[in-house]
Amino acid sequence: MAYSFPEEVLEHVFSFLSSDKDRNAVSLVCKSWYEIERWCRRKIFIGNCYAVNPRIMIRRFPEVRSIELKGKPHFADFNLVPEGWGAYVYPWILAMSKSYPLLEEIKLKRMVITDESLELIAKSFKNFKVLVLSSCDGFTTDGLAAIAANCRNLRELDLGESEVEDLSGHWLSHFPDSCTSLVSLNIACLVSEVSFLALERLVARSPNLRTLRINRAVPLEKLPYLLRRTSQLVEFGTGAYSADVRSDYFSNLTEAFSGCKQLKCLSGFWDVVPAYLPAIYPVCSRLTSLNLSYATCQNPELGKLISQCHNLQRLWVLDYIEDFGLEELAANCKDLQELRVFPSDPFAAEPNVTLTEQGLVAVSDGCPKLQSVLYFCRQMTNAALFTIARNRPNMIRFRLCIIEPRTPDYLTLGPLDAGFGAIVENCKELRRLSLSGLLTDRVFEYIGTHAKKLEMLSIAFAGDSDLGLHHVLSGCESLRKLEIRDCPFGDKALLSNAAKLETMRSLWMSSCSISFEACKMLAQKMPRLNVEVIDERGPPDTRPESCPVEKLYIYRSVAGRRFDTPGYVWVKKQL
Amino acid sequence: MELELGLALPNSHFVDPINSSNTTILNGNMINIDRFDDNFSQMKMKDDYSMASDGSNQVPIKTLPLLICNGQPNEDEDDDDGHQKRRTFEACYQEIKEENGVVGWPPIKSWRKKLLLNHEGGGGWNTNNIDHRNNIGIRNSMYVKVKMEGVAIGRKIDLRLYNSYQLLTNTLLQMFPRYENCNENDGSFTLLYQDKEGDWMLAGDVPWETFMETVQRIQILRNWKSGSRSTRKSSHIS
Repeated sequence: MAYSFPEEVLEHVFSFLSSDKDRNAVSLVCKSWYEIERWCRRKIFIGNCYAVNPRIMIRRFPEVRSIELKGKPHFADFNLVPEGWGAYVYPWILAMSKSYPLLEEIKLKRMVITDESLELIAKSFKNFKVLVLSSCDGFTTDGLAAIAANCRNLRELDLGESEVEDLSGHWLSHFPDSCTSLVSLNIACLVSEVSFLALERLVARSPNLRTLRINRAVPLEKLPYLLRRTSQLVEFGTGAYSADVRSDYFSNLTEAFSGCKQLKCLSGFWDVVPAYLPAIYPVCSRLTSLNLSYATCQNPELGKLISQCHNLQRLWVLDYIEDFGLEELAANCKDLQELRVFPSDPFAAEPNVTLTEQGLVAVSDGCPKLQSVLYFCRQMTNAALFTIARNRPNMIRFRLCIIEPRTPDYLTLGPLDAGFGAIVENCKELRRLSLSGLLTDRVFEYIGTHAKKLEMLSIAFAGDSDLGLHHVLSGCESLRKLEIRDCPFGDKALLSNAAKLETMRSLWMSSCSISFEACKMLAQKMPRLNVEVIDERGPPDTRPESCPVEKLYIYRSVAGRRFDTPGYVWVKKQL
Repeated sequence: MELELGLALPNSHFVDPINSSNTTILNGNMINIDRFDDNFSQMKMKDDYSMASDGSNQVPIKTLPLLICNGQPNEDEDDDDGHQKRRTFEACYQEIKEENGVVGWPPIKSWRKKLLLNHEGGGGWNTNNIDHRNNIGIRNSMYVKVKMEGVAIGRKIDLRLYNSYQLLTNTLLQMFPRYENCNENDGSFTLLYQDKEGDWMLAGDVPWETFMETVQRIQILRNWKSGSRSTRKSSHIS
């Protein structure tokens, strides 16, 4: 059958498809479309770097320009994944350096990238434009110097919250004078002072700069020098927001901020001296995103600032905002979509602030567009969760962390099953959920029954038996990522839902009751799953097979087992 | 609860009722195996698919893999001694901090935790922050009363938010807005604090850490231009 459209036309049509899902669907239509599509796919997203390998990727998609890779499991953020587990990007860089000379973008999350990798990137990709390293580690500022020096057309350098070994700030001076292409620079995670002169000059010769996030070491009184040179900034992250209280500093800063007419997003704010907060007032009404989660300032200064941000869509803040501040937020910021409240003193025995379930209820009530919540608090009730669920059926992400594990409803002293049940029942579009507090198997029954769109679930110190896990695995049709710690879930639930695991990206279980024997059985029977036992107590066969493993990470893969595991990771020997 | 070994999704195949010849024992419990290899129950699990490890087993030290993939050695920081040391130290620090709590709980990113622990200019692994008094990793909040002379209503501040006299003074000045112009005039205020013994001391003489350990409350005194405080050393912190 002859096609009425030549390949080029189909290719052109496909070029309008940016979503991976759409492209994957297109490639399944017929062999011909598969072939055309694979030659023109430019962007790849790999949610688990071990689910596939570079060779397979390059073989199928020969003309990639942009790659996004994710490595370690999410719980690595909380030190649950021991050092050296894996997620090394070098093999990918090496393979791409040979096969993708035109590569422009590399975006990594929770991966280990060495200076060697950075140098290879700098050398291999002549048209390299975008480097985003989100929560990565393994590199030093020397690697950054290589990128700065060699990537002539660099547009974006974003170090996210990476752990960089900061040898010195000199790396920034390696950007040649001819580099004028920067659009986005985020060095907030760096500790060392960079040469301010070099930074100022770099900013001055970057007419396209829209995002600038500097590090803590840049003092407040220097900010006007930067802002004046780059008044078209859309996103700005300050350094340490403190200085002697001087009226000239204050007026310079206020004037500099006033000059930034495009500014929509502010962050930084370490070491806040409240006297300088009013310098931001001129831009408050334009702000859509405000990250004050490092700002250790309290009410009334904090509340006064936030209540001027009438167009705020995203707020990240410490619990110094307290219930009172959240009520003000609810009254003033009707466009709010995302709220994250972090704890200022999570390890204290007693609460240091008055932040309770009331604050969250108030925001859920007053902000009709609220759809994404991360909330750390010390007390909760089913009643409050009912109210939140009723108020916000449009909730998409709901992550509640009650600081003390297994905390009950403080009014009824019972579990919070019904409250979370109300959340999953009412919020039919819920995609992400994190549970906390006292919870029995019942909450998992609710989740399995109602949370049909749920893609990611995080569970800690919850449940009574295997039934809990079974409800989730058998009920949550859209589940992609499941992470569990310190729950009494065992072999039965896992093995009887083995097939489900192939439909998911990954499952993490630590301090649960999965035996080594069950891990082996699963690994044996499910060849397309990688079953990793992470146990720092030594070889599993020195313990009875029924002994629970410390940690377990299971993920589907077409690449087979990996060969870069450290000593404490146990995987099935190749048959 | 009698469960099937779920090799396929629940709705994708017909499930046999319990058939004793298809059962096996796992951890002392009966598991019904449906659509399974005939010789599964005879398989010696230990030998056929023993778990392999690629390196030494005692400590989480990286070693070369038994099988090389793409000819790439493991990404390892061993080549740079300093780097390796720093990582070990980091790991130790994490353990010190969390030994009295649960690892990784509450779920706060390391980056953020560091900031909560260490308000100084970052990077300093200051193990002095460990507060054994409270048996937890970091200090509790430290609220002290602040009274300005001539102002009826005092304030309370959390001293844990500050890491230097400078920061404290700047904030205090802002707290009492009527006196915002204080620092325009040299030495126009004096900062005093009451220590554990009940004595009133001049702020700024002892190191910040010592001050933090002993301060009970703070008072701000105005120095009138008439010089009535000439007997005191003015605390010109600017």
